[in-house]
This record gives sequence, C-alpha cells and structure tokens, in this order.
Amino acid sequence: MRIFLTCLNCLLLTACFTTRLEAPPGKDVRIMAAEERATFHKEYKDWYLFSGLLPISRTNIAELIAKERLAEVRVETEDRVADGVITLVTQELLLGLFPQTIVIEGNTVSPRSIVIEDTTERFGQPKNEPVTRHAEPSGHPSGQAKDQQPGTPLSGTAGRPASGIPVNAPLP
Amino acid sequence: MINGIKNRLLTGALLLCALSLAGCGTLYMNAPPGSDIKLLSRNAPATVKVEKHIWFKWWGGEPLHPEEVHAANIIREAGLKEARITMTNTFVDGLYSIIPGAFGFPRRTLIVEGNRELTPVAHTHPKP
Repeated sequence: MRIFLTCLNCLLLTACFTTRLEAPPGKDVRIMAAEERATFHKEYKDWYLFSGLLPISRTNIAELIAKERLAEVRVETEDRVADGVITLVTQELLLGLFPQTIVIEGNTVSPRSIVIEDTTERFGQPKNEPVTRHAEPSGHPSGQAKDQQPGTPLSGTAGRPASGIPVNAPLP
Repeated sequence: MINGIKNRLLTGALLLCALSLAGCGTLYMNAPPGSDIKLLSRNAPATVKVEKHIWFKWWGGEPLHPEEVHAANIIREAGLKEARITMTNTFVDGLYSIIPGAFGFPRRTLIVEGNRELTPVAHTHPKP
C-alpha cells in the first residue's frame, strides 16, 4: 500500500504548471533585456495542489502589468530548494502543495521614450578641427606606425578619409 | 523481517525519486540586448511558435546549456519583433523527469510565440 502511494506521489509530481508573460489587451508593453535596469521588482508565489495539477493561486502577469502601469517588463520563474521541500513534505499528506516563485521586474516608463539630454554643457562644444590620432600598432616600440609621421592624421579616420576628400564635401 | 527491510528500502528509493522530481530551475523571460521587442497579448495572432526543452543538472541547480534558459535566445534566433512567452512543465516533461530526473536532470519547456514583423495597430476613426 505504501509503495502504491509513493508511486502515486511520483506520478503526481509529473503534473503540469504554467506561467505566461503576456501583455494586457490594448497595452503597448516592451520586453526588457536581462542587463537593463529595472525600477520595479516584486516577487510572487504561485501555489498549486497535487504538484502543479490544480492551481490555487496564480499570478496573472498581464493584469499586474496593467495595474502597475508597466511600460516594459521581464520575468523570472524560479523553483527554489525551499519550494521543493514544501512539495515533498506536503506530498506525504497526498496534497503535493507546489509553490513557484515568479520575479517580475520592469519600468513604468520605457527609458527609450525619454529624450536624451544635451551633453554640450558637460562636455563643451564639439570642435571642428580634424581629430589627430596616433597609431598604436602592437609590437612597435615607439607606439607610432612605421610609415606615419608624428602628428599627422591617420588615413580613413575622422576628419579626412583615405582619398583625401573631406567627409562633408558636397558630391560632384 | 526481510520483507519489512525490503519495503522500507523500496519506499526510500521511491521517495528519493520523488525528491528529484521536485527539482529546481530558473528560466528567464526576457529579450535580446539592444532589441525592442513588443509584448503580445494573449489573443493577438502569432505566426511563429518555437518550443524549446531546457534540461537542468544537479536537480535544477544549473542548466545544461546556460544560454538556453533565456527566452532572448529563441527571440533572436527566430528574428521576432513581437512575442509572448510561456514557461511550462508539461506532462511529458514530468514523465521525462522520472528517469533522468532521479539522477538530477529535470526538464522544463519554454514556448515563444510571435511575429517577425510588427502587427499594424488598428486605428479607429470616429464617424463624421
């Protein structure tokens, strides 16, 4: 009998559970990349009975996006060790309480919609002089290209291309 | 007496199996870096559907292929401009997890649906 119950437990542990990342209808939401900064960070627990077969409480991400007015979002689903232990303990009572951690991160306003600030105040006015760059070829002790005179602009770099025609010159 | 020990050993082994099935694992529903991917709603039409099975080792402690746990990879590979993402543990995932799972290799499924072109927004003009 005990073996039968344990087999049943094992079978129940194969149960399904699902987390969906969807936008609320009619809302324009962007999916964020992993390395982007998020100002909104919240963790939720989804609870299932019989190891995921029967959902008790599930986080509706679309509803949450609408409620928190998120313009961009990313989600992580985590099955933590503590979640597994809860499942195991309750599995013995044939309940198989299965928690899953959902981490929702996002921003209420997409940084892409913010106008980039004018940096001329901080960095000064851009100079119109051609940029002079010294070549730094590897293996050359002086740090200067072999055929390059010191102080001369490099061909093909900012200011003057290899052909000698200025970049901004009108086309013939 | 011997039967009792046998039963306990068998029960212990099955419980160990159950423990392995309750494996962990983290999946990331995100977009590729530098991209601008629109999130689709549930009923929005999607022309592309990609389903990827993600295997973990150490009972879910570490993915077999770390890049696979990010939905961003599927979005990039499929060239999607808009997408919705689903993480699921299907019944088949559960069945697969019985044997490999006992040795610490659980499986999860990541489903990405979307479109390679942005769906034009339907504008409603008020009637004059």
